[in-house]
Amino acid sequence: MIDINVSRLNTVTLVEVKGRVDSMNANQLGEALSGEIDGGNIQVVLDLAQVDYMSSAGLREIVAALKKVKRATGDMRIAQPSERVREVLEMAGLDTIFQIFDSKDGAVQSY
Amino acid sequence: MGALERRFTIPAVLESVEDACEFAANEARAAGLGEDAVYHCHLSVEEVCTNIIEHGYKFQGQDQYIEVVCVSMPDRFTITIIDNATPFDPLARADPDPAAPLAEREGGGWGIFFVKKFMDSIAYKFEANHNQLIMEKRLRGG
Repeated sequence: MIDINVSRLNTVTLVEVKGRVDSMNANQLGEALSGEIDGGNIQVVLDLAQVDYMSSAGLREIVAALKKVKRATGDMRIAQPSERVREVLEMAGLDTIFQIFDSKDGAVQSY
Repeated sequence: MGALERRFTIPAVLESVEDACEFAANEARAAGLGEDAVYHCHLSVEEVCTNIIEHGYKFQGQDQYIEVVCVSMPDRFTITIIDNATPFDPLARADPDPAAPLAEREGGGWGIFFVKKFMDSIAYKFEANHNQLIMEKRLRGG
């Protein structure tokens, strides 16, 4: 089960995720991100503070979303990943692909 | 003390993967693994089962099954995932490159890569007409 909450802070779209992102629900996250990008919301912050588990299915969705938003000349930045999520991001080398911030405010203000 | 073996079977569909993960995690905990190692087992079972459902059964596994066999021994804990899809060795594929730039990332291959990193050993065999992936965690002080 995941909860996805989307809010706007000026030009930035904040996507806050809560729960475990796995092969059963990763597509929900992908669809939410894709919907925002298709809607022209291309300055995205993905807040992962409340995600304590993300498998490769989740990584696949966020990489696809990053490709999509970059094609639209935007960006998606990650805020406050938990230790376990940061570990898989680093193992996959995604810490050099995504800009990762320790705080939500830092990520939002980076735009 | 001998080996303690427990088995659990799920239909080969994504909706059942979490049940297999919970089973393996509970067995790992009962075997004396710490919470980090239990998490590694959980994630590894998800990655392997998802791989089988996607690539082995092509998402058509409603009438097929995946069996999870956990064996607890004094010095190690093993999880064997068994399926009867087409013979396929997931370990034969080259690892994805963590240094690859965004444009070259196709998205696949990371699941087994994580399993290799998280488990102490992993092996594949095709036996009795079944794919068998054997993952092991060593127990300290065993």
